[in-house]
Amino acid sequence: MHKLRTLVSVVMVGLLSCTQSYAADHLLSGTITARSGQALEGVTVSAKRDGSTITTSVYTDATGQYFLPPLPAGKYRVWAQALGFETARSAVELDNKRRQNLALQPITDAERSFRQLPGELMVAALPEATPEDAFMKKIFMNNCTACHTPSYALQFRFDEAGWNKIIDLMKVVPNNGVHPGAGAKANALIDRVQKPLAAYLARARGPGESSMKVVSRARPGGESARAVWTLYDLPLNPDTGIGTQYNPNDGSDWILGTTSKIGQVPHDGGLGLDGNIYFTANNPNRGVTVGKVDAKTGAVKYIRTPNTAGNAATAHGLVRDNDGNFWFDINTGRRGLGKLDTATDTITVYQTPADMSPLGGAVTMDVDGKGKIWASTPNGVVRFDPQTERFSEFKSPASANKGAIATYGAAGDRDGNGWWAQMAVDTIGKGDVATGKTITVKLPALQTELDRLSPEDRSFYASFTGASFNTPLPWSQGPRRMGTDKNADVLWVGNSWGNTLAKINTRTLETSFIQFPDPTMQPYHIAVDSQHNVWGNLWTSDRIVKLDPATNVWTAFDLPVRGTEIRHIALLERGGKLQVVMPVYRTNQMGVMMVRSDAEMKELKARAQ
Amino acid sequence: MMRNTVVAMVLACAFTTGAAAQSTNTTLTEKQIHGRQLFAQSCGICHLQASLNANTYGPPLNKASANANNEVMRIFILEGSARMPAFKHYLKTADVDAIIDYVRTVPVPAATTAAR
Repeated sequence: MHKLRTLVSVVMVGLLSCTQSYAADHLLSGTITARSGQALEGVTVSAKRDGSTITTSVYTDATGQYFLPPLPAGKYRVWAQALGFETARSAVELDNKRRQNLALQPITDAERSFRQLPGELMVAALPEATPEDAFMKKIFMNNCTACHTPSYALQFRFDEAGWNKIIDLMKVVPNNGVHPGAGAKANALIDRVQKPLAAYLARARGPGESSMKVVSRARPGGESARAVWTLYDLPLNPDTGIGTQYNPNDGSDWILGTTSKIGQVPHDGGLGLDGNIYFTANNPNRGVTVGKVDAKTGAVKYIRTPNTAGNAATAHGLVRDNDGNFWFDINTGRRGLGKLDTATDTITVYQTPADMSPLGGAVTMDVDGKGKIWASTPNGVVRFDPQTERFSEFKSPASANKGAIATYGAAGDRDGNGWWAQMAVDTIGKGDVATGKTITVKLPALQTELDRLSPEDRSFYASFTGASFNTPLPWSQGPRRMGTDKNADVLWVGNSWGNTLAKINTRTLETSFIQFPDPTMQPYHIAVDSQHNVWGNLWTSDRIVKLDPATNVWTAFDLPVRGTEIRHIALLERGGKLQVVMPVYRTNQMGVMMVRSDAEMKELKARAQ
Repeated sequence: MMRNTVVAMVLACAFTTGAAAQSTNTTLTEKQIHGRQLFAQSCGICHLQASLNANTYGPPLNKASANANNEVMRIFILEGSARMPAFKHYLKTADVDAIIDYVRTVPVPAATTAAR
């Protein structure tokens, strides 16, 4: 018999960013040109009403024209950005339909141009022509970007001694970003390569001529350029960091580079059936367990359950069930399953029985095809039946290295079985509900990385026992967060270090791999829509991607801000429209993306003329 | 099955006051605002509280830091220290000026009696 605790939560504070609601029926459009007068396609155009916390962004079409969706009346700041160009700005009084053209001036300062790059282009520019450089690049991508997006580190320039000091700190700081104090144990994977890594980084981002070769890319076009992004600013945690209400660099001016994440709040997110946006807060704080953003006004409400220390219980993972409730991992002192009733903003906490694992690991949530809730535990996964309020558990095979086998992602398939990812040991578990047994699928190591290693390297890594989410081996696939196709027998696994998607047949366990279209792409979380499209956020990139598995065509959607570091992606499909929602983690925002159809664009253009 | 119900009360001020975060005033100049952004982005990882109740790796900075001497602070920023990298290859002179200008707006915490 398990113990169930209900914590009636509280809605408070709210309205920290209260903004008046207006009818959104005013059209803003225009043309973006280069200094020469040439119309520019794929330019990011953003608008933000004075006093509002909501930024709306679109892209110019093949004729250089942009068409923002209908907006409330008011005075707006409007700005346009493209790589290699200075940010062009204007102000518009929007009281009817209005056109606002902008001309972009090229950036003449190479360093300014570099700092506006998204992380994926910075990483791509790192040298890899020699075996030594290729190994250092792999170390950087696996072991330095394990905790932060690459553009944060690579925006800086230090000499070799300076990079050594950075590594001195980084190799002892765990993923919570807090220095553990004197005598902290160093990450052996980084410690071993500190000297060549510091030299490699100093050649790339040091005082001399850079070894990096930046290659730009085509701006968004076609479907990618029909995207509309709505970003909602969230208040920073007032008890940490700089102490401003909002991020001093919210990523909206690319030339400012990648912001600090100290004080950020949202980790995972979802869209409610009520039209509002919800997020879980994973960093320790006093005020919020789950946040709620009014999608029309941007007003933020905090829903809080206390932990045993009197602070807000932290939360991780988030999934919406068919009734509109959200489920998440909540840490009130022992990690349990939280349920948010969005009609009453009430949090209920369900604890697993004492003889069962609590929730844990990097908890990810899913609702299976039978309506049961699945959540990660440190050593497997639990299933919760919302009707009977009972848990059942599936465990990973026992291991001496408990840290290494910890669970990251969890998912439920349409047959009602559960799945979990042991990220550090490249293993996927299946909880077979019919038999009650655990089945495992071992993902193959990256052979190219194994082949690259010297005998000395192999010997070192073979004896290394500290692998974890943030300390992967060079050949690791790194299965992180996953998503099932609820209309097929497919589990999609985002392999962060392998740069692949694993496609696993949930019945036969047949497994195949699909390489991401760009080697810098490190998938984090996967969500699958009703048309079988696979959506993924990218840990190291300011983009999200969609794969159509029927055609193997990838589509990338650029975010309108820099330094995103997104860890979660969720979907809401209603009325034939798909909305993609994600916490824009580092910039402390919630983001929603919709793609407009050609017909919708045609109608909008006609109205805007 | 046991069910415990706890009604939690939250004070409206619970998440609106920053007891331990970097204290700032709201009447900063444009230069100080620029300095604040640079400080948060470039210096915060060591000099700002990374997590609730956590210690910082470097000393928290305020108007009394570096013996309240701007030139001493400038040398620290440009040349670094035993644990801090030199920022002279990254920050421009105007950036360093802005950071110092901002730090000098941060009051000395009440419990701090001497410059760190």
